[in-house]
Amino acid sequence: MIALSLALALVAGDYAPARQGLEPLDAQREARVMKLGKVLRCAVCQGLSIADSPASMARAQLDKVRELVAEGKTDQEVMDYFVARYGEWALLEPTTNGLNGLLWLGPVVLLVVGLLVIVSLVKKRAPGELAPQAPAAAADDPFLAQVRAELEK
Amino acid sequence: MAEVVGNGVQVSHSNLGYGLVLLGLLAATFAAFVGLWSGLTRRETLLPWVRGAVYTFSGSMILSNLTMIHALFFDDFSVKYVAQVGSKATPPIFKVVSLWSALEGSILFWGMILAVYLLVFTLMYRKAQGRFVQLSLGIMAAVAVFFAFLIAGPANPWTAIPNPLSDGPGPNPLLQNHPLMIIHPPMLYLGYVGMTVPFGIASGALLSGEITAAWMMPLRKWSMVPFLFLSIGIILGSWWAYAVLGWGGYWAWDPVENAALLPWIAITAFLHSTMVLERKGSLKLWTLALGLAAFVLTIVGTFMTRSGVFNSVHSFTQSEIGPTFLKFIVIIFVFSFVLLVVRGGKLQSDSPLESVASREGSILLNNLAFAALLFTVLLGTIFPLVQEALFNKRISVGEPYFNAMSMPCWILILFLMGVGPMMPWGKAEPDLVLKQLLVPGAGALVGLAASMALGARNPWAIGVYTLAGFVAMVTLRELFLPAQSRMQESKENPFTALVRSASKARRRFGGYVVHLGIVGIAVAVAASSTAKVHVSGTVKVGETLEVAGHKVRFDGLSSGSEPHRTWTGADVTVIFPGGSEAVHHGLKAPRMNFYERQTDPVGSPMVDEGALRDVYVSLMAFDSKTPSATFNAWVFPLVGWIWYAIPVLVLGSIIALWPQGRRREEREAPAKAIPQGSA
Amino acid sequence: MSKTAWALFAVLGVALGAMWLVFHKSFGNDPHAVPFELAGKPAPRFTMKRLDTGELVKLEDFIGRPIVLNFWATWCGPCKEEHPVLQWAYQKWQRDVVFLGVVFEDTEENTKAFLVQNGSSWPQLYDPKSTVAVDFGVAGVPETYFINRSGVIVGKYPYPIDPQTMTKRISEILQ
Repeated sequence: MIALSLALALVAGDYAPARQGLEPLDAQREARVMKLGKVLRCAVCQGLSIADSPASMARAQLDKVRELVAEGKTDQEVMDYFVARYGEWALLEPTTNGLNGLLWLGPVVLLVVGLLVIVSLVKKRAPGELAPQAPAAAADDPFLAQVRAELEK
Repeated sequence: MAEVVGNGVQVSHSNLGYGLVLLGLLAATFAAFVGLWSGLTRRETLLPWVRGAVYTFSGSMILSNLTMIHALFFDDFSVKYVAQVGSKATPPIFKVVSLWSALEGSILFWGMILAVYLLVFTLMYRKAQGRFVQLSLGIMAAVAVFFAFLIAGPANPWTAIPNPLSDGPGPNPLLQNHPLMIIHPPMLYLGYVGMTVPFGIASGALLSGEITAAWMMPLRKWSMVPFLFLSIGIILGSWWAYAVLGWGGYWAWDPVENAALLPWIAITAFLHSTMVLERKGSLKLWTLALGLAAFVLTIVGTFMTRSGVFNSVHSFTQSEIGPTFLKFIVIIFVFSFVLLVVRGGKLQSDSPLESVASREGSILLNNLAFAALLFTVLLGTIFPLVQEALFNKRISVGEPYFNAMSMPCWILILFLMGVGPMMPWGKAEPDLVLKQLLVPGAGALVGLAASMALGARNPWAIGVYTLAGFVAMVTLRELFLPAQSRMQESKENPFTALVRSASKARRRFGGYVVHLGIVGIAVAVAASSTAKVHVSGTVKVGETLEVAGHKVRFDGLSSGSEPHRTWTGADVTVIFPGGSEAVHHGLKAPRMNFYERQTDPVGSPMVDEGALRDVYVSLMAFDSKTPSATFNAWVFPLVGWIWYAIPVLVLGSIIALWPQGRRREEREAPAKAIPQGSA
Repeated sequence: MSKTAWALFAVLGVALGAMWLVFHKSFGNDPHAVPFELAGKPAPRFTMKRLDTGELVKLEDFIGRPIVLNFWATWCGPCKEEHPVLQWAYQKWQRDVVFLGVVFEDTEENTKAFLVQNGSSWPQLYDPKSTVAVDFGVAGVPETYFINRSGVIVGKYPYPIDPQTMTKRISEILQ
């Protein structure tokens, strides 16, 4: 009932938790703001960046980025501002320090090892061995054979 | 809701529903034991007992769910789950949706879908050989035991409440906000739960030690089913996020999204490697491992969304079932691993790989790309937990990481979708491949030229468009060339030729149709994420906000009330570059919804859908005195193609799954083949 | 069984052990909790308008006295719930502790109407663009910060506050 009356009050009045943000900076610096906004985690959302989140707190945070960029702070200094408050949690793009290296290198290592395994799977034939029956291999694919027949007409 | 029946026995929803769950648990346990034991000891005479037990499990699970729907429908707040999610004000359709809107109900619903799968499987194979059915069903019933146990114990929705209240809080407002929520979770669950069937068959095959066509054929077919439903579920889920959450995106690499993506990646890789197994007799171990992994990852994903340890948009509340799930994960993981290691020796490859430049080589690379993708997504999702457990350090792994790491894999997969079909089995002759390159090469150039002409600047996006042109041409040629040759050779009309050529190789034809849908999705994702235009601002009545040539005019505030919510909308009119207008007033306007029992408003964006672009407007704030409204507005090119791909995926999957009328083995074909070297 | 098989089982064992450890340590953690790193650091400086008198208030004005800084908004239900607790605490400790309310993500009119209805005897400051909230690392409403005499943030309580917690936390900053 309390919530309902609150809702009705809001319908009658206004809902304005989201105050107007700062004016965008010039194109070049605004692009920097948006780029930084993409890698900073909104404090009140579920894993969205402050550039993506519609929450008003996220826009306040984005305004902070704007303010810091306007003051001439570097990207690192802007990120440090948020890390000082929320820890590395604030960075949607994890750093490469310490154990985090695994996060960045792991998939790359897997790709490389996988490629090596695939290459090693290719059977090296001894010189005396019969050549593979490539025509036969192709032949058990009737569609491909048909396609090829088509191409060679 | 208690009724007195016969000689004074009270039947309440709680008693009936819980009794049915217990009966199901009993039946599943019986089916699992008898099925596995009789299968391993070759006692075919016991098969009818297994079937009977499965029918009992399915029947009781389905009835238990119907009882819950009845209880929800008639607001029986003496049932714990109804008291938790029900409310008298909830519209009837959402009362049914409430069944899967919270933890306990979703597990109960899971049980019903599992029951349906087991029922269909048993009925389909009522004439099949005993061992196959016994072992497969035995494993599936063992999975059913786990879920029935969950419903009976840790996630019991049926607990009776002695002094029920007269009304409840109603389901999560986010779930009542959009009709997609009615269809999206069942699709996803059909995908998740459907993984049980290939898991059962693959484990059964490994247990029996027979990796033969008799096992592989149904395994492939039953993998297509969860693949299809999971694909639909994932796409509908992203559509829902787009249409409801209002931040202008459809994918945020949220743990719940990753949870659905993981088994999808595994099963898709499986569907490709299974072709190599079938044709060359190699990759047996790897293929079966993928099949088993798809199921294990499904359970891992379910654990992620239900254990309360992951931070996610739609994770369920903290719950007791986490440790139970974890134990189950360990059991199935160890079981799968031991099975693969012990049977590994029997899975020797029949034929070696001759060259990477071959069909099987391209499928191997495809599997590698999928494996890397799978590893990236899994690692990124659980890594914050690892850092916290080991170093007590809170970190985030978000969109920038997943985009950067997965992009090369996606590009490689797209590339292989074009190159793979051009490669012959065995070993490719370079000049033959080059000869085939003409048409797809032209497609690639068209893709490149079109993207340049339309002003694409992002190198990844340009790469995707170019590859999309290439893959589309390869795929279309594979789809239509056989028909064309039939038209020329047998003088058939185009339609007959297409239908006949398709029905002769349904899996191939269906697979390529699915590929076409995927190409569409790739283009849509690239275009909508790199070429979107975003504007935000506050406007008074009559003023407009301009975004990419589209004007959004604010026409004033409106409000309304429904039994379960009140809302305020900012009526807008979208004025297109050509001058035509689309009016979005009232319920079609970007809105804020105020639910009776929620303090924070829930926004609904306005989406003006179009074949080439969507105009998307979210209401951020409003002031009724001025009156003014603050909007976030976007124009997303081609975004709708993602959802439009669903019918294509469905069509392709249905073609691939369509039962072969006569059992005509493809073996008779080689007579027509011509020697490769003769060119 | 072959050596490879045993090696594989060893790998399996290690993997399972690691998985078990990670997930078991995670149970019971609140994944939605937002880390707070400003504890033990000097409170950020601020200048805000007092809603009743309109005068500007600075952090430096209160140096030497402990501060309870409560961030809230009128549209937040739990803020309404904790309002009486703050009222009670203000009555009890107003001589030794400075109580400041900070309204953010809200309008002045909304706030004034709320205060007329619910009463407030301690000063309410207005943070129209949420800049102070961002500086303090606020991650939701309501949140209550406890600042000691030397202007250092001792900690914050990111939930609606109750009398026990208030008593305990205030005793920390009174030392």
